[in-house]
Formats: sequence, structure tokens, C-alpha cells
Amino acid sequence: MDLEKRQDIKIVGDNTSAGGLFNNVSVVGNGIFNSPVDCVYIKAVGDCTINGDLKSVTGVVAGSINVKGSLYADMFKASGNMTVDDNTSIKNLITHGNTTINGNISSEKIDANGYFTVEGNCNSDVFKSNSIVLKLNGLLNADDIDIYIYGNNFVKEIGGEKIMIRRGSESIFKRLKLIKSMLLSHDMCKGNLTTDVIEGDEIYLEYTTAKAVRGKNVTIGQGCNIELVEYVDNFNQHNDSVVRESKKIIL
Amino acid sequence: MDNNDLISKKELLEITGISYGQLYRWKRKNLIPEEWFIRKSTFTGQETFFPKAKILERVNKILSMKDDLSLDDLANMLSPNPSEIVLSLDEIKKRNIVSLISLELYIKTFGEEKEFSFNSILYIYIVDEMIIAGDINLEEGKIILETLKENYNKFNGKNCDLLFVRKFGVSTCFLVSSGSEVYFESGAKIIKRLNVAGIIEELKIKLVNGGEPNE
Repeated sequence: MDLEKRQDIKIVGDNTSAGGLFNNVSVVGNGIFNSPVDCVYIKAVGDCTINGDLKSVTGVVAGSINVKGSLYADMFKASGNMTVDDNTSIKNLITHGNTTINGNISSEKIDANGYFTVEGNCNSDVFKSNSIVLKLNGLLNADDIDIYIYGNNFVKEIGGEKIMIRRGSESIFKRLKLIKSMLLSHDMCKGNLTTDVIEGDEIYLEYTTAKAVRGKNVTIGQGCNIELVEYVDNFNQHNDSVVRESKKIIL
Repeated sequence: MDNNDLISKKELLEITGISYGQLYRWKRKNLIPEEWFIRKSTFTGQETFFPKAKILERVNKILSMKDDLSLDDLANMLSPNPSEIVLSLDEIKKRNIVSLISLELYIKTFGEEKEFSFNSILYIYIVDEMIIAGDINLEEGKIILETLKENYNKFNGKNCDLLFVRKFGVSTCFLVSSGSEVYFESGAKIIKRLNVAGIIEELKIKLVNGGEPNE
């Protein structure tokens, strides 16, 4: 990357830029970029709209960012609103606010909190979620999947090596008692996860509704409702859970 | 290649002994193309099927090479697009990728090039295979080199076959898109039909493994 030619840009009030190559991009007011942006660092504290692709090494969003194209980054931290209309590739993504990806996302590590929605497939080496609402309309494919349930989660399909789905502790809601009483309905802290198929090697589930669960070692914890479990080595089931059919597969 | 022979995901794991985790990881790393995952509804709901011959070959290939190579290297190698490998003349000689005879034939035909692109190496490699197998002589090798150089790019990375035909000692060669059927008069004899995609894979393995013949 030729850093010599790259300039910093700072948008404080309402402003429009043509886009292009930048070093640091900082949007404090309301910034619109009318073509793709390629930068080293982007910080959006205000409203930022990019009418094209965004490529950045690192990025921080505290306000709102709206990328009308695809997004490539090494590290991205979104605490506010983030919407990407096309495919997204971020090596390390941490979201705390409201993140919506309308394409596929591929990553090495995703740490999803708050509201996290992906319309396409979600590929990552590690996927961690503490989301209030997790909505993945495609396949969640990760080696290590660790989901804590706080609200209503929906994932179309889950595949991976180690899959852990547990109900999160209520402590964070206690801390946020005020917000909870204002915003969240009571059963928010009694969430669940709905999915079609879960396939993996080591599977542990709680409060999950699934049509089929297939794996080597399958443990069904509390509050599950599974139509079919197929396992190779071990299968354990909690008394509170419903498993309509379980089959051992002999390889 | 219209084999409708499908294999279910469960059967695949059963036959090859791989786990769900491995399969999903390979899919994620693009070692297994997305279009091989065929969804069909069965009485137990949706199930995934694969083209049997292709997936078994691919899985065995991955299993046999995954100890030596990282998954990213493997993905690079298995993708059908020619890699952006460029080698110098010395490197080709040193790494023993093609025989000197074929290399000299190429230089004699097209002049010496400073750097050989992946495609150039591929052309030499194809001719080299045929010369070593005794299918063709040097003069015929030259025809094949010229045909490949002039026409291979027109396939735009699509899979194609190289056919080499001889009749009463007169020989010719041509490229056809893969899988298409060709018939000749009875006097003509197909000496060789080579699938270029197969050769590309072979060559990539050779290039990545350092050029030593891997037995």
C-alpha cells in the first residue's frame, strides 16, 4: 500500500466526498461517500454512508455506518449501527450494537453482541454470540461455535466441529435492570434458539428447537425440542427436553 | 459428465471416515465447491447430497495431502483457475518439472522467455507427458505447443480436452470442450485424449511440492 499518496479526511458537519484512497477517515457529522472507499482506518462517530465498497484495515463504528457495497477489513469494531448490503469479509469482527449484513460474511473470529443479522451464510473459524437477537438466514459454519442465548435466536443451519448453545446468565440483565424494565419484555431473558439442522462433532444444546441434530457426541440439555438426533458415539439427554427420535449411527 | 450418481452426506462420512467438523471446515475453506452441495428433500426433511465420484476423489485427495500442506495452500491448488505462478527458466530446470527436451522444444518454437507463466509451463508439461509416454515425436510436440498457445485461452479457464489423432502417419491435434463426444472415420486413430483440468491439478501439486515426482 502506498501510504504517501493517501490523505486523511475528516467530516465534521454535513458533507459529501467523492470517495477514493484515504489514510484515516473520520466522520463525526453526517458524511456521504459517493464511490468506493479504500482506507487504512475508518472511524464513524456520526452517520456515514458509503455508496460503494469499503476496504479498510481497521474500523470503529460508534454512530452508524451504511455500506452500499461490500466490506473488507482486518479488524472491525461496531458499537453502533452497521449495515452492509453486499458480502463482508472481516478477519476479526466485534459488534455490540445493531449489525445487519445483507450478503455473506466470512471471518476468522466473530464476536456478536446486541442485534446481529446475516441474510447469507456466516463463515468463521470462531463464532461467539451473546446476542439479544441473533438472526442468521443462511448456514452458520464455524469450527468453534459458542452461543449464549439471551433472546430469540434463529439460525437456518449450523455446522461445525464444536457447537455449544447455552442460555446466558441473567446477570447482565440484572445490571441493566432499568433498561430491561423499559425496553425488553419479560421473557427476553428466557430466550431460545430455533434452527433446522445442527451438524457437528461435539454438540451441547440448551433451549434449542431443531428438526435434526447430527454429531459424534451429542448432549441435549434443558429445554430442547428436537425431532431427530443422530449420533455416532455418545448421546445424553436432559429430562426436561423432548427428543422425538434418536438413532445411533454405526460407521 | 452427467453422472447422476449421488451420495448422501451420511454415506460420505461413513465411507471416508471424516467428521462433520472436517467437512464443514473444508467447505468453508473452499476445498469443496459450493455447487457440489445438492439439497434434496427426503422423508426426514432436507438432506444434502454430493456427486459421488467427484466428492470421493476430492476427499481422498485432501486426506492424502492435508498433512503436508495447509488448508489454504490446498484450496489454492484445487481451484480450477490457473494460479499466478511464474517461474524462471533456471527454476524450471532446477525443480525438474519438465524434461529438458520439452523445454528446449518450447524455446525453439517460441523463443526464450524470461519468465514462464503458469500457462506456458502447462503447455510444456502436457507435451512433456506425451513425449515421455512415447505417444508423439518432437515435430508433433511442436504442433501441440502451437495449438495450445493459440487456442487454450479461448476456453477462458473452462475445462477442455486435448485430442491427438493420427491417420496413416499424418497427425493432428485439437482442443474440444470437456465431455463432448467426437467420432472419427475408422482409419483415424485417437492416440491420446487428455483432460486439461486434470493436468492442471497434477501440475499444481508438482509446483507446490517442489517439483519432486511424488509417488
